[in-house]
Amino acid sequence: MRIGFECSGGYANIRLAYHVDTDELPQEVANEILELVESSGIFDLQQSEVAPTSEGPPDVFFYRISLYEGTKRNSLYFNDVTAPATLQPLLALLQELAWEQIRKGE
Amino acid sequence: MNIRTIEKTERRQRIVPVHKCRCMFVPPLVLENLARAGIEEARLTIQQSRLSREKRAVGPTNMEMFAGVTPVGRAHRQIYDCESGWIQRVEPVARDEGAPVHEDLAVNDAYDHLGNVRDCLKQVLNRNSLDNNGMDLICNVHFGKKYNNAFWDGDEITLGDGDGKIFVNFAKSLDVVAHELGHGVVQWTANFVYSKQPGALHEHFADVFGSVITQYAEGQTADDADWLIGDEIMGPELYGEALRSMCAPGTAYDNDLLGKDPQPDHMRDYYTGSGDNYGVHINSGIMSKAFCLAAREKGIGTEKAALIWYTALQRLWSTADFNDAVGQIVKAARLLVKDGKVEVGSPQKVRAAFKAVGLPTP
Repeated sequence: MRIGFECSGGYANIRLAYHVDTDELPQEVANEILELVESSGIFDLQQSEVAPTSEGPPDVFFYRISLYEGTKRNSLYFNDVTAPATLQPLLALLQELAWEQIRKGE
Repeated sequence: MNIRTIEKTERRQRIVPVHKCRCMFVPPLVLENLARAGIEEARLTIQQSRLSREKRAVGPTNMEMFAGVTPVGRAHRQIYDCESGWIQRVEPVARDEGAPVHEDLAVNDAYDHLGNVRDCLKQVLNRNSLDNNGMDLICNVHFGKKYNNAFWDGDEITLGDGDGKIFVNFAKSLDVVAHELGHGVVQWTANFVYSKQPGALHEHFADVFGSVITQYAEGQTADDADWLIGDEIMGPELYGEALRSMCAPGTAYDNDLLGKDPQPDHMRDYYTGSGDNYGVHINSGIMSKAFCLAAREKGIGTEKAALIWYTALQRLWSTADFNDAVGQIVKAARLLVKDGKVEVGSPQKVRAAFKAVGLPTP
């Protein structure tokens, strides 16, 4: 599965990006991502369900995520208050991996 | 779970089709123009109308809102513990107003900080909570897992624990809590659109509240305060850094993880890109430096500067830009001199502060 992920904004005005093919990750990390993708139901979400209704609210994180697996694909844009709770564990992991990538200077 | 929690949970977990009713007897544009002219009743009507539309969209209608009779609240504190989950207002309330000290440090820190915000708003600005009508102060702690953020969502604040490396527990920091609640005050006054210069004003005033309330609670003056935002939540990988510097925008941080602080300290370096909602956290630095300079002027000080800025905030409107804000702030300084609330010479010092950051003054 290919994943493109961006997280921006927030109190600290951060900017994170993480682009990966899970085939290129260690098995354990890939499995964790794939399990969270499955449990999030993200492929069934429609943009209309999660679209932010305004530029705010203040200091929330905004996310862009695109996933491609075979013929399945989905791209979504949302923020902390429009994202379903089931999506948050996946977002948390992707942020952690993005920071790890920055630490390694990749 | 109470009705409110269910409403918010459902709103987060499923989509409720929202019928955005725009039917008002007095057209919104007329009300906005009246609010711009400083007609407080018009501003309150806009706020109440917006609140009514939002409440109609998600649940039972409180007829008192439509009758224009808004009950005065008690400004009580309510701290909820999300227990590392992603749902707000998890019952039962962890600590209610007047409840004894809790076993959880973040709950107690948030409780104390909310009290400091409420007290400062009342003592320094004579404001009865965020809406000036005694609305309760609601805070969610331990939101999510390793959540590196804090936010205001329209009626409550939500604080993460940080990941322990980049950021630590957001509830620990008064300036974070006061900043987020400051967004609430802005919402209930000018209600700036959260983009471009109005959005930068939203962030600027929130940082003003963060700094003012921190100095008030810690007994600091403009001269001995550090004027840093977010220094207390830096994790071990960001030791010594802060997120913003009110007095020296652009110097708060410079490291491999966050990059370099992008805030300009003068209009010549105004950020024109589209990131960050066209720079709401970036260009706020220009206004913040002016506030810091004004507060440090002999004869003004932080609390008088806060009074000047707050007086202006109540006369601003949702699409106001920097020039509008400067105009209202200088006007506020003059009015407060006339009323004997700030010293003679204050408007001139405020003008000088704006001149120093490249903003023209009337």
